[in-house]
Amino acid sequence: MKITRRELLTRTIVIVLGTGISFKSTRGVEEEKNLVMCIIPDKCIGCGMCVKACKIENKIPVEKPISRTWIEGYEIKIKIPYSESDVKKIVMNTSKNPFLTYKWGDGEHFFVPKLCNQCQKAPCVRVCPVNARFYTAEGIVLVDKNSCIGCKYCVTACPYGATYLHPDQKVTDKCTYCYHRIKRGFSPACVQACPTGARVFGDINNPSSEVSKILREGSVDVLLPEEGTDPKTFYIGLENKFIVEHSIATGEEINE
Amino acid sequence: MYVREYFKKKIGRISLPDNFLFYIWLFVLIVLIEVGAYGIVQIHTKPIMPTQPFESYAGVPWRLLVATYVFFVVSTTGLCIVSSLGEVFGFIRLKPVVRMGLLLALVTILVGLMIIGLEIERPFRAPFAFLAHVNPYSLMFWMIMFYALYMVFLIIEMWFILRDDIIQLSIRSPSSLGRFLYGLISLKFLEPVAGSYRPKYRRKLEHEFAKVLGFITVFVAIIAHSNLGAVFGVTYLPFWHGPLMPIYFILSAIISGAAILMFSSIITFWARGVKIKGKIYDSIQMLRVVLGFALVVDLFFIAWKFVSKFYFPSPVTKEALEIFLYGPLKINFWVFELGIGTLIPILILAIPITGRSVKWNLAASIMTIIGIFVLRYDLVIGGLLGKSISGITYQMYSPHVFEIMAVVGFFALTGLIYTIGIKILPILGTMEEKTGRGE
Repeated sequence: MKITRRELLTRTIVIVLGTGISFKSTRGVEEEKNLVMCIIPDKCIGCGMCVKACKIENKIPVEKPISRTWIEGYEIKIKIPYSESDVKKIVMNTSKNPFLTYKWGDGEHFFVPKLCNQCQKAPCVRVCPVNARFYTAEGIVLVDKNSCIGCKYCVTACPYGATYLHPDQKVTDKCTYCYHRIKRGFSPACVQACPTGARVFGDINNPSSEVSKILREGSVDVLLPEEGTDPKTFYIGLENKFIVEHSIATGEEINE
Repeated sequence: MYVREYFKKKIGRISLPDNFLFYIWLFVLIVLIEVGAYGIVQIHTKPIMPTQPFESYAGVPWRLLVATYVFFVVSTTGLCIVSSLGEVFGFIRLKPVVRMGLLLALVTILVGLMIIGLEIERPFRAPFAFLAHVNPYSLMFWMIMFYALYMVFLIIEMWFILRDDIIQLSIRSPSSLGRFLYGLISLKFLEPVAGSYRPKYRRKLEHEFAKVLGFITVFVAIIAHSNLGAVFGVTYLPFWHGPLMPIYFILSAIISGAAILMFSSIITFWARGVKIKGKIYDSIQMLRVVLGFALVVDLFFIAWKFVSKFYFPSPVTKEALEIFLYGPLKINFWVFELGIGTLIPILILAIPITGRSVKWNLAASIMTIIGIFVLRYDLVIGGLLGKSISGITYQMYSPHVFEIMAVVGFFALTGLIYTIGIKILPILGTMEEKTGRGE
């Protein structure tokens, strides 16, 4: 079989290109991750290490009552009719821990850590007039701090209250799942700091990861499902449906 | 003018310049503008504002300045609609105040866009951002775009309406600078025949063109304004959410526009010493009809909105309205919005004795303007206070002193631009001649 020089050259080019494309596509499959966070309120003890770790890692003013992640302590006495139940809420978002000084009554009480829900249909991305918010390949919503004009529409639009205006940078800011850390293979700062494992972070496309197991086995909820935001932060075994279904505001906030 | 005569009697021998009150007015306005500028600079240089998220702190993201912005753009839309009634839709009795309405619409849209430009946290970024990278899904983007478009159309429309008179001014102006500038503004050199004579068909053509442009302008104004309503209406906040928000904005725009036009035309006529009678009186009476009608419709709107949200109270909607009915905004709602802003003006305008009196009309229009301003404030702040994701009952907000200073400054700026506009543009002059001669 005789091969002309031209044929040889074409075949070589085709083979090189083909391997290149196939190599690229396999690499793409490998990189396709779907990162989620699971929060297990049962395990949260309200120590506030996640809040401090997040603030230090992301350079948020520690003593100002703003935070990318915060802990809500609830004290609920169920009454019938349900909407007249006695709900009290205490929020920890600085280094000071109000749970230690609060006098807990005899109602049911528990802690719920909260953070940006990384919605797949995020209201903040939709409403931003200048495209300062966008989704990454992992499905994480980020803020482009060089584009944000500070109109605060996203703060108004977020149903979870997870976005805020950074007082020093004068642009909006929110949790990024510590994108700078997870890109390097670390876990987010709050996950690393949690002493009880109430926050679990991982890739849901990997069936052997811890989040996959938890999501398969536990009873999974998201906050405010009626808003249709498709969050990526899941809550496992949330005891009280108050927080999930209504998040109603019949109680008082106590900030001490 | 009564005031000037009074002062002359009091002060006696000291000779005052003829228009010294005018200079005092200008001086006061400029001082107030400086106060406002100080406030704005302070807002942007010192981190005084509550910047917290809802969840964890009592702070609201949209505050007094946003409410003022909404008030201004509502006013501009309303003024445009009311002026178009006279100019485009054949409410001939409104003719004497049409130009004033258009001038006010222009002033309020300029100041309104200035307010929102200075309210955002990064004022210098915004113009470039809106040119470079925009999100077509964002209603806020379309709102700004349509308001900008509306402003352009409004300026062109005004140019066509005023052109003939500006050409006359450019011929009659005593100073050569004035002649040059008026000639430049009106593009007089495009005229085929020099001199004061202009063929009738050209004037008629311009007039027809202005009518068409007026129609387009009011259309764009309503699009922009309903976009603003939708900016609020699409959010999940229970007080704002709903498809009726844009419609409600258009309706309240008519109230705002009619009241402001009534107020400023009466004040302007008094300040310029024009007697309010004849056609001018008729135009004020026409405004009375428009304002009264819009107020009555608005009353039903408010009533059924509250009833429909309170009839089967879900916890969320109930809480959103409790803020108004017996929450932190109860005085604003019952006294200012309903009492001073709606019911008393309706009574004043409806009762013949008060409705036919210009002074009572002025009182009604002032009350309505106050009511509308409080209504805007309540709409913005009240919707955000009811942000009921968490266990918070009501959040608290009271305007910072720098914000109040800024708002005062913006109102003074509106007054200043309007005064200058009245002085240099043929808003009143030709009309005085036209209507004064006939009587």
